[in-house]
Amino acid sequence: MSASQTFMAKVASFLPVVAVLVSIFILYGFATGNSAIIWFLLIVNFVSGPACLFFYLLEVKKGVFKNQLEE
Amino acid sequence: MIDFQSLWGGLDWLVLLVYFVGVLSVGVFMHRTASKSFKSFFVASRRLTIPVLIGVAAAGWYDSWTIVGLAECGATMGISILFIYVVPTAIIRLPLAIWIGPYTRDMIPDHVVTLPDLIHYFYDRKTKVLGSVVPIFSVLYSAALLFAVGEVLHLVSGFPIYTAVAITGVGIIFYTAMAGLWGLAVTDLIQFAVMTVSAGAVALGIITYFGGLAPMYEQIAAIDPLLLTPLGHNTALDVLAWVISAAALYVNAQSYQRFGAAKGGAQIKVSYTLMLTLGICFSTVMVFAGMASSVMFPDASTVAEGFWGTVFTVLPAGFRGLFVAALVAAVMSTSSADILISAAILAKDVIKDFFVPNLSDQGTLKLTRALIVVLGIFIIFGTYFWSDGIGKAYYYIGGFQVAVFFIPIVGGFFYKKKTATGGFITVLAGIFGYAIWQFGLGSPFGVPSNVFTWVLSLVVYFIACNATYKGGSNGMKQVA
Repeated sequence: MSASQTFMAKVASFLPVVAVLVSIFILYGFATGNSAIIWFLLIVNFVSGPACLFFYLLEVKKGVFKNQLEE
Repeated sequence: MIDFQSLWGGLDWLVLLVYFVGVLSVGVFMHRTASKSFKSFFVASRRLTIPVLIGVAAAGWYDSWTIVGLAECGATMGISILFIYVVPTAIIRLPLAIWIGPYTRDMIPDHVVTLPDLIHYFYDRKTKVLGSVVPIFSVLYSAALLFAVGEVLHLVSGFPIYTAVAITGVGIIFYTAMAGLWGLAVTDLIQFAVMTVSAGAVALGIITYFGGLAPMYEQIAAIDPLLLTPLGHNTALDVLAWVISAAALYVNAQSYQRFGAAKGGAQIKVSYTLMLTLGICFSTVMVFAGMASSVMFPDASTVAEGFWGTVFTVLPAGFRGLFVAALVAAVMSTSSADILISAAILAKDVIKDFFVPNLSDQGTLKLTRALIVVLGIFIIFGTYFWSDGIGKAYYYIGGFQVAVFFIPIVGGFFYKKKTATGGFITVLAGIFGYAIWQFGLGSPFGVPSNVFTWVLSLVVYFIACNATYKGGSNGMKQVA
């Protein structure tokens, strides 16, 4: 297994925990009426979509379609 | 009531136009890449990486119901919808991201590219026939989604409903037929970005308007304090029905298509788990917007009108257009995926497998493209016959799919004693069980049809599989 695959495996095993923690944070925030949860949500939403698009464009620059066209 | 049309201006139209032209351009740009083979067209040559997978998964799974539907739930059910649907949905779907998705990509042979293929792989040809017909009904849901776009554009700008439906529908047909999943992958990413930025903007607008969550809660508590409790007005059966409806994505043909399109199982684990987390954040903002609308526009003629009134009150010009574009994006991404999958299943799993076995790969690709056009036109006209609410469409179609396929598919992955006969009997029991309970008996004792048929399928599956199991592995495989 390469270094990047090992890193990805570690990230993959950690992310479900993040999902559960975010869920608890959101439920707690809404149950208690804490405004911090809204600021958290708006930052995540503002950042996530454009970040995905940015990383995708980086991959296109690296040649993600090149191999497909050469097949 | 708020005068939407006085607030909707040239800048909003411009934002919507830029989005629309951008999405159509992708179809033209990706046409060549998608035309090499059926595999290239349908599963993007199995090359999708993490950022793209997050975009296609989110844009495909989250549709206009996630925006308007959840906002309506936020207004009428309060925070309980977070406790009984939004968060449980994500948690219940985690096994898809962690086990089923990676297994589908890494362990199942490359020739299995559609949901009916997977059913055939687990069971037999008979079950595949049933599995080929039911997912095609998802196009009815697309008709309902498309109508929602027409309604919203009409409400906010006065644009004729069916003109909006036709333009959006033709746009979907164009880029889906031109570029298949290669095109959808890119358009979904654009659509995902539009959706999340819009959600961030509306959250900022609302929190600024109220000056915090506490002032909003005080006003909601004055109307109905139960809206601020975890279970709200829901009964135990309501909660069960909501939770079970979250399992619908286990039988969603889109899910398996995208798993097959990933570069590898590790990419699925990372991207889908991330997407589920981001999905909770997106959905929660819509619930929050709905809750805000219940106190900002308590006298609105419909809950949806109150929601749009809230959006138009808290957002500036341009961002209103972006939010409407987000709704259009959510519909286009989900509908394009449904049309692509239904056309591919019809072309490959029905016409090629049962009627024209000698059809070449390029022939299958051409046929899929032709069927995308036919189904797209069917959906546009379907809006005339399915215009009484996407909530009802979601309830019936989502419930029906869960009833029929949830147990056989999950059992196919995990149950060591599965048999072809057991799978076939379970699918039949699901179809008849749902139809009788829902339409014959009218859901007696207050038990929702999806709950009844899910339990029925579970019982039938284990009895039928054990009764027909003859030892050994049956030549079948499972995750564990």
